Amino acid sequence: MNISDIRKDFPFFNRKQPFLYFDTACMSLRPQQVISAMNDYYENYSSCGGRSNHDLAQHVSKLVGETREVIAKHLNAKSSDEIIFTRNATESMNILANGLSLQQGDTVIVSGKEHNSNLIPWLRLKEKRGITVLITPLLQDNTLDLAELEVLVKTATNLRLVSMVATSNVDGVTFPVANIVKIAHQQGALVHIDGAQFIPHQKADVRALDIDFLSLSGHKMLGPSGTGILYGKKELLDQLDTYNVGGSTVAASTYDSYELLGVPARFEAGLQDYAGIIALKEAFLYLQKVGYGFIHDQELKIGKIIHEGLYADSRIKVIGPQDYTQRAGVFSFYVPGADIHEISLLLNNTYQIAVRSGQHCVHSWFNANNIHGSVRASWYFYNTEEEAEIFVKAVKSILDIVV
Amino acid sequence: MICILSFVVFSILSIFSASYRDLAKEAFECVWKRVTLRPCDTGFQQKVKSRITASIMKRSPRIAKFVHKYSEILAFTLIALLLASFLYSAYGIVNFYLYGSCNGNNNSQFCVLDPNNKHNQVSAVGGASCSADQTISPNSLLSTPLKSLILPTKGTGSNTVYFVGSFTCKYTRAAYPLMKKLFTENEEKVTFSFAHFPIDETSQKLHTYNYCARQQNNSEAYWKWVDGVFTTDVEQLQSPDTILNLLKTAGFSESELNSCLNSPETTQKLIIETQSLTKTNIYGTPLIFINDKAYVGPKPYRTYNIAIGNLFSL
Repeated sequence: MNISDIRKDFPFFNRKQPFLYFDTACMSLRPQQVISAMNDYYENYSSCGGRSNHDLAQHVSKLVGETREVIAKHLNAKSSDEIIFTRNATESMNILANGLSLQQGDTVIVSGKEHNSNLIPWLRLKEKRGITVLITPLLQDNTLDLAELEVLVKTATNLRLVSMVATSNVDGVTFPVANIVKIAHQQGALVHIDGAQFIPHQKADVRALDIDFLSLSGHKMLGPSGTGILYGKKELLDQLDTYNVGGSTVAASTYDSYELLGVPARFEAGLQDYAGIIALKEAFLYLQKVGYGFIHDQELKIGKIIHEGLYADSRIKVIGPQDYTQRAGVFSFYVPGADIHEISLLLNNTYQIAVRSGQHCVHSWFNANNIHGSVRASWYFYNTEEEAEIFVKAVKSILDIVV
Repeated sequence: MICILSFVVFSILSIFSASYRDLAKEAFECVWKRVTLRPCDTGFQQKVKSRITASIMKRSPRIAKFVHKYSEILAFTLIALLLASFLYSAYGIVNFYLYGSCNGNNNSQFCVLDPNNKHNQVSAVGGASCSADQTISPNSLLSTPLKSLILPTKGTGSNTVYFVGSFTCKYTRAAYPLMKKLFTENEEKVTFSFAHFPIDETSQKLHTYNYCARQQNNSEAYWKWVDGVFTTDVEQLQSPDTILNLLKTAGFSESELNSCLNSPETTQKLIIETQSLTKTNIYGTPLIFINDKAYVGPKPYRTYNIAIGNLFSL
């Protein structure tokens, strides 16, 4: 595949007023295949899956099943039953947090760089049920302190779960998932991986990595908004409690009893986002067509240009390790004495470049490091080296103004 | 400062266009936070600042840097100018309310509320033509010389009103109904006098008749005569028959008038009287003194009303 063919698949690049999109870590662009799949559902067979017997509904059920199969295969899950459809990774993590039946005295370990979605659910359980939440410190270069994790895992009381982000949305650094899993499993703890920024960029084999639970969002990997996945090993999902029950989660009910369905149905209460789920399949298929090799190479090419153009600029502070290959798809920086929001607005207003500024839902890390926030440029395989060069020039010209 | 400035600007713009109302609301939230001693964390300030900087940056990065760096000072300066402008406008509005001119009493400089300057127009004195463009020097106007003249008065109020004008001056004729109304509505508050000042040939003739009418010591007839002249077309006043008819209608005796009109003493006295009137430094008619304060040109009625103490009755 080449980049120009890829860009033809994305209607965004045919905008009348071109925009340089560097905010993929928040939400990716969608290829026509995904958009067409959604439109196709609404135009041709918009109906309930898993309920009615007519052809349209049967077709929806079939396509939903196919999506589950494609995702299971993509992640190398043992069975498609291990794939639960959610609205996003945040919901996946809330299902997990509420389903593990954690009690007072249980411990959950997270890292010092978690998205609120993998921090707040645990802090809430700490507040409501009295569980202990331990934070694994980070090294100077913002990578995970594995030695400290090992100590925490060994010394924690009644450790139930190690829940960590795989790839950080702040700096693009990927934690060593295999090591984390190994350390946790040695102490009999379960492992949950927040893969929202991981799966879009890197191949993840859940069986090879021996991950117990994995959360991801469709909208960060070419899929429709409002789609997410909770992967869990079948035997663990069977034991997981569900808090969201009702339509399509039960096999039968009487006035005073009910019989829950098995996994995954009992976690998918109510009518689902069929259009989104069906289109999510196209997103996975598209990623497979492009290939993680191409994705990685393209991201590194762009990362190199941006790193070489800006890292050495004394006016800015880059978050994350010096080695740009460790900061896949993300360049996060702040400018002492200048307002990050203003920089992102100037990029938008002057050069039509979309980036994100703020604390990126990782307030805890920014507050701990006493940093107000950062400007985050995040790209994907559909971005070009020319765009990276434009971005570098734009940032430099804005720095000339604000510093 | 940017928030305050934006709030003022967008509030004004939102009066005319609904598309600015959200911005005005956002700016208000920012201002409110600052007023209540909280940081303005709405992002509005950055939004406005970056939009301004971006638009300048496309043309001149150097100016953009300057504007960005000194945005607070620039905003402060603009607010100061805005306040000064508001105060100046308020001053102009008050002046217009009080004197019918934004720039103060008898000031004929451009006023947006009176673009045609109709409240300062006069008929020139001593010139051949009736001009509306006079360089006014109101400070030199004096009412004292009028007090030496024996003029018929009406009313007994404490506010002294001298109405100096020419029967043929269109601006005097525009002011006359206002003077009449002022007196009618404030009979107990005003002592009203009229002094005729000739500006052209016709008014010069009428000046003599007016002098002789005054000499008859018939106040009622005199005011009828004045009213009659001001309500008759100037063209008709060129006919001696019309004038005589007006005098008769007012109640004057033709024979007594004729003896005055034909007397050489009358000519002499008129010269002396005109000299006295000239000592007021009159440069155009109408000239009205209310309690010794001069009003040149036909002012709005409220100006005269305010001058006699009726501030809020128009």
